[in-house]
Amino acid sequence: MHTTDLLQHYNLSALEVYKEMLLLYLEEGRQQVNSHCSHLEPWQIIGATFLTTLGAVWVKGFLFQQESLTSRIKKQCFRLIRKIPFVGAAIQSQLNKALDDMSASLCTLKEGMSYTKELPSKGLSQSQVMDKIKEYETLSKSSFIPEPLKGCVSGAVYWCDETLTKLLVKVYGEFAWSNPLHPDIFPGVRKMEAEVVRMTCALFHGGPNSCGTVTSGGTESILMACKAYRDMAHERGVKYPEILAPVSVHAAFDKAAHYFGMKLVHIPLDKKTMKVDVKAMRKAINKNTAMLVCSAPQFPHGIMDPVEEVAKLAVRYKLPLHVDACLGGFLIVFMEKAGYPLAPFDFRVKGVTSISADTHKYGYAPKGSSVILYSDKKYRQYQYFVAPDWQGGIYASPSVAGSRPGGIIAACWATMMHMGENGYVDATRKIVSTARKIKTEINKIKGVFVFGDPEVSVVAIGSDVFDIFHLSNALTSKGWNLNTLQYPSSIHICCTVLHTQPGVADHFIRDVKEQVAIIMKNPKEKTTGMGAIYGMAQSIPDRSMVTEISRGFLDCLYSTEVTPSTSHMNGNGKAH
Amino acid sequence: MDYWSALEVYKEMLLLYLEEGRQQVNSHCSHLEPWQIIGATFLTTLGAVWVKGFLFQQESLTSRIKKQCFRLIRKIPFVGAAIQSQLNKALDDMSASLCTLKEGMSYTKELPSKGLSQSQVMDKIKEYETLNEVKWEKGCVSGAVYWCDETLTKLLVKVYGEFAWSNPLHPDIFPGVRKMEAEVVRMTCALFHGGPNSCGTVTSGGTESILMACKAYRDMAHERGVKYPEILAPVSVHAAFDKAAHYFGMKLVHIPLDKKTMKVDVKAMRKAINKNTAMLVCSAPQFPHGIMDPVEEVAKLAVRYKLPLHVDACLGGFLIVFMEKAGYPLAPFDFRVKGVTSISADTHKYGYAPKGSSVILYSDKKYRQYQYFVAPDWQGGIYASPSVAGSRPGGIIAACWATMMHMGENGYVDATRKIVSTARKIKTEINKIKGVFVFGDPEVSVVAIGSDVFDIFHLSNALTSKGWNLNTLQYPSSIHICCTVLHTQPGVADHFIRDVKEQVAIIMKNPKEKTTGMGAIYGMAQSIPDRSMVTEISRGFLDCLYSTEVTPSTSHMNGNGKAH
Repeated sequence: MHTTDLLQHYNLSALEVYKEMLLLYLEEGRQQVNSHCSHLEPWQIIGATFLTTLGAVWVKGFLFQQESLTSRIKKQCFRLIRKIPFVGAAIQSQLNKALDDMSASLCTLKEGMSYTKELPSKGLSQSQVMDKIKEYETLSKSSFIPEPLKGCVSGAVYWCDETLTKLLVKVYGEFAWSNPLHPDIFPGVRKMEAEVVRMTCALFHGGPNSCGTVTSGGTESILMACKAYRDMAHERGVKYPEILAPVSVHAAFDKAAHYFGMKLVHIPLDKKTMKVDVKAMRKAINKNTAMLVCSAPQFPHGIMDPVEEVAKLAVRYKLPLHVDACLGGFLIVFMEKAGYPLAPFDFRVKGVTSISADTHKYGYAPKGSSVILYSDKKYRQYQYFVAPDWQGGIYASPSVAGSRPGGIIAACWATMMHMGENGYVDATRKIVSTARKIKTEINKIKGVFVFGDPEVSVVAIGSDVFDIFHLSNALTSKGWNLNTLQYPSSIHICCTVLHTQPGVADHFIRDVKEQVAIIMKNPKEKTTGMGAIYGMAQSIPDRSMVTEISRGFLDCLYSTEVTPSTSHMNGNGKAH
Repeated sequence: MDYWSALEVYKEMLLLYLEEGRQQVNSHCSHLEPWQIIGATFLTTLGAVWVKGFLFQQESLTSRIKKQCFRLIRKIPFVGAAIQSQLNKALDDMSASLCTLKEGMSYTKELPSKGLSQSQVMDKIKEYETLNEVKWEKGCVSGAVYWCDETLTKLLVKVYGEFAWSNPLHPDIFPGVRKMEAEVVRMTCALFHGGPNSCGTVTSGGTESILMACKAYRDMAHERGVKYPEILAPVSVHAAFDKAAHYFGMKLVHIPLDKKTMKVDVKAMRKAINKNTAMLVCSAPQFPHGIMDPVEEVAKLAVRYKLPLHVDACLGGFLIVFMEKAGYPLAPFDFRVKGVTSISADTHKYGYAPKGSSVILYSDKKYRQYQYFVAPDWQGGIYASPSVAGSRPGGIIAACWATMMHMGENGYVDATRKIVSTARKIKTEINKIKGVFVFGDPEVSVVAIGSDVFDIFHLSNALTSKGWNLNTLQYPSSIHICCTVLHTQPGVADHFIRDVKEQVAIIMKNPKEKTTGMGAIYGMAQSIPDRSMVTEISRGFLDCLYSTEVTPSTSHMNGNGKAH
């Protein structure tokens, strides 16, 4: 008692001193202000203060926008450079040349082929259409483009078993005209969609309140989760919601931020494990944070993010956590049964509020279906869109689309029923063992290394000794179609059922070994061709130029002008 | 000179007042120290800035106050609980009636531990098909299925099979699908008289096409320095524009219609244009009443104010381009009209392609650039995608291409002639019936029916019980039929007209009788002032769609509140 009293007394008197000092300074400040303004009339003081305050408010608004000041200044500088008469023209002509090259190489047709630019005035018969289709199929059998079905392509096609294809085409045919927008007219598709969601919930250990919707693909699933959490943040009064996501997260989150007026804050990775740095994520949390994101696994290097640790943050700060399992969702849920246990990543982890998983990847359903799951119905409500006042009736839609192809949902449902748990576990065992074999063997090769410890199906290869895109070129010429990655430069192979065919993995490992051995004879040799372009694209400081070229690439995709074929480019800059 | 001296007088007066004001201010503040004046002005200014921010938000003040009031009402202890229990009851009823299964059926909630064989799967599918109670093949449904010719179905399923695994995201691996998509766009451009610079992309449906156009114009407005871009669209425009506004942080300003013609009021649109306007919208035709908006007049506004103009032809795009050749000329609506910068048209409606394809067109490539999304810094490589989706089903694009090639111009013109003549016949005959009227002068395929004498939802109920599945509309209450190829089958239109005549005659005997059942619910849903309650019930409806709980079947509901 006695000591605490003393202490209190001491504290008080110390505070007293501070208080007096503060008052002294305030008094001093007051007199300073008064004496400075003594020669001014009151109306002048009022006017000056008013204008200064308005100015300060404007400056604050200018400095603190959603896009950081440095990023804006950088963009403005590059924009000005492009406007300098000669420099700008030189840059533009270089850009145009790159675009012309691209359109010439990307959109080549076979000799004698042309584009249909108008409806045929008289419709073609069924057999005529099928004949024409054959012509289109020959395009993909050119010597430069590997056949996807032989397993030389990373990702893209995850299975194409003939029985499965037959089955799902049959099912698609039964439901070709159906549309889940009209549940009263097509109740069968309604039931199938509900069951696909429920079965997937069960796979990810969702409780009785877990729920979700079927979407058209991974991007839509991710968009929907971000939209739901944005609306939740808006309701909480947040004006500029932020997504905290690892650098390695899929580009669909960038898209979501761009579409929905959010800010994507990239959290760095641990350089060795390539997992997200949880400490950095904790530091980035602020009052604008709308959601946290983990990937399971991430696309570039196939690494599982530390879901459990991030989930702890989510619980502590009461934030929603999305686990993006678009790529590997239908592998990781079967890995334990396949003999490759993983750390928990699904609704068993407290704090995980949503999971996205693509049925059209390792679920082996045809393209155009994915699932977004929520741990509770209260989250899904925010995903919905309702227009109660529309003249055409009350409009309610669960996801982005209005009308949706019921045939694809039916085919997805049929694939899941046909595969069954045993089918998925078998496929998972084969794929993961193939990927692990590739990982182990690549790690043994001198001159290259594998990023982190990939546990699922993707293996990313880098090199400290030579430019990895040199290897990329070499493997392309051997017929492999791999994904090229940037920041850091690397290439990856995404193993599918096609790669588990006998000999494919061995063939790949042998080719990598041989090509690395050749490159290592002269590791400093300059990379040429597409590899050089990837390297250059990374090093351009003005990212708006890269954007412009990429837009030109997209323009090319829709081109119906026959360009004189000159050189060939084996581009594959995009993925799932 | 007189002029100047008059000004001189005003100037002196102004100076006098200013001097007066100055003295007033000074004398008021005479007892204050300068730091007090500074402090007070500073706080007042900040306060004024805050108030301005509070008053002028994207959502108008009245709308916010209204919402807040209803929110407070819901929080009053007894009232709130009563409302909630009513809502819950409505939701329970809905789930009980919407998600009924046949006796003995159940939901699959887990993957079968052993996969089913091909024949087992097909057997199970038959079970799902028995759930179908609506015989849409006979032409009793408004819209929904636009054709299902057996040869066409066979062809496109075959084509789908050839391209089932393809994905236009990988143009190097699937160059055939790339070519098909480019050709679908080019052929559609030609139909809408686009010039050599016209371009576009294939999307997954009308909603995505509309979203993409709004996204492109939003980004253009942002670049111009507009913070809160606005869409000016007729009240009758499709709900996808509401969705676009909600998704992309835009404001949708609804322009009223001319009450008689149901076309957008061009004068009102001109008045609504301001510095935040990002785009103008017309429908050709609009969904609720099937009326063509005055594209030419709105295009003049677009040219004068240098704004982009989107023509939404999602519903009828593949009819209106063939109507001239089919003998039903229309006023110009496409790229021939100067000022039209984009057009959306659904191939999966009157293009007769299977569900999941639509086209968005631009008059120039400079607009399409704003639709694209590029992430140049992604670790997984430079990411560039033309529309919402990343991966896309190549099979559906191939099937769409095959449908267009198979139909050809002659096929489309024939189908258009049949559909439009059927719709015109229905319009003429309905207009002859006493007690009901047709909204405006619908020129294409949709005919909307209203009544000044009785509650139109009464007729809706009566026609539902006769097996017709029509769309119910609100503000004003009406119902419509959207004619498809299925309605051109012999006898269908006559049957419909006969049923309407008979049912109207019955209702007219006692026009003030109260509507019951679903019709009453539609009427009620319109009259609820707290729209958030309607939203809540609609969300419950969506929840029901994903329900896998078997509910005891009680009554039946023939709801069809949604459309394309």
